[in-house]
Amino acid sequence: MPADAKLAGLQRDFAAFLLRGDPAVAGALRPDLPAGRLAVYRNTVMGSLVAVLGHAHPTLHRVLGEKRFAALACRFAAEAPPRLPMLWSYGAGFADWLAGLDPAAGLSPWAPDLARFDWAMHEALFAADAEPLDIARLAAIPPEQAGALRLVPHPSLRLVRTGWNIHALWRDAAAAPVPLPEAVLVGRSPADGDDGTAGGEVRCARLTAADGALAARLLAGATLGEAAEDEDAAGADLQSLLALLLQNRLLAGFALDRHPSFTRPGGIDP
Amino acid sequence: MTALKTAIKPLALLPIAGALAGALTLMAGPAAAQSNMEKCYGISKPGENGCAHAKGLHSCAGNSNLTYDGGDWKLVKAGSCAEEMGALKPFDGANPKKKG
Repeated sequence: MPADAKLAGLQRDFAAFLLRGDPAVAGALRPDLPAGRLAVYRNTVMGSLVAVLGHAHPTLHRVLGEKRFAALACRFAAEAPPRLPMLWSYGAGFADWLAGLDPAAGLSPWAPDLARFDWAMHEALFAADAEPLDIARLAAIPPEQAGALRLVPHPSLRLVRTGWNIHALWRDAAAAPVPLPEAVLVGRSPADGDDGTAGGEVRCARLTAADGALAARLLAGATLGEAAEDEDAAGADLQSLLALLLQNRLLAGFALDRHPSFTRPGGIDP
Repeated sequence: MTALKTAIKPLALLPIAGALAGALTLMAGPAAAQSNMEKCYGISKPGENGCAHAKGLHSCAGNSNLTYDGGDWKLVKAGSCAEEMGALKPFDGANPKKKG
């Protein structure tokens, strides 16, 4: 066998052993070593990946407990090892992987949504910066054009819609999971200045299910008018949602859909 | 087949314009109205800090392993930080008032 192919084969086998720990593979790799010797490497790799997943999913980690979280994280790491050489990016698929587990295996039904929430907070921290929108320009929009307004979300803005009390679980270590349709809005507000949080601070706010439906439409690029007509958004509080987004500087801009009946010469540039 | 939505119904416009105007009015209010909590430094026990350390020692809520460190903060009710023997600005080292 050519040396290159031999090395490639050795690396493949070693990688497989690191992730899955098959003792037969370890024995074949180095028959001269005691069986447990190669497990030192496996322990280091898996321990690091589980720790990374735990740091990115602190709420899920706390609610599940160390043992149950580590067992799931180990399985995920073995099935979906990192593809990028940046540990902060590792774990993007964890929530979906949890959601795809066999329900008969006994995973708590709220776990995927809690993972989604944790990952939203994590992504918000690493998202790009953006200048908040110009409030004065927004205020200059004529009232009859308000319905045609589209919002440009800050790059860090995330929305998690769920059937569980995700927000309470995050905020209160004593809370127990209960079914509750709600949504959580996550975003990183620009730094306030001298408070020591360079680059801004990740915050989240609880929304009702209706406000969550409204926010989902707005973040997906619907106009205020389209979003307000959404059936799921019946009873939603548009004013409070807009105020929340504006106060936390979580909008990066806006655009106006021009419709002939509303277009006036010399109108506002979108 | 339902008709394509061609325009926003004029009737639906008023609440939307009102909501936007209302939200902007809230914006114009005093910034302090955003929150009735304040960051209080030097009063958090390990694992109970609010968010990132002022000096960048860690970046996450609950990540601190220092007791009453001046770079860690917790949210407390506005005005109650002094009662908690904390400080409104980060400082170096552990909080001397919280020893013992």
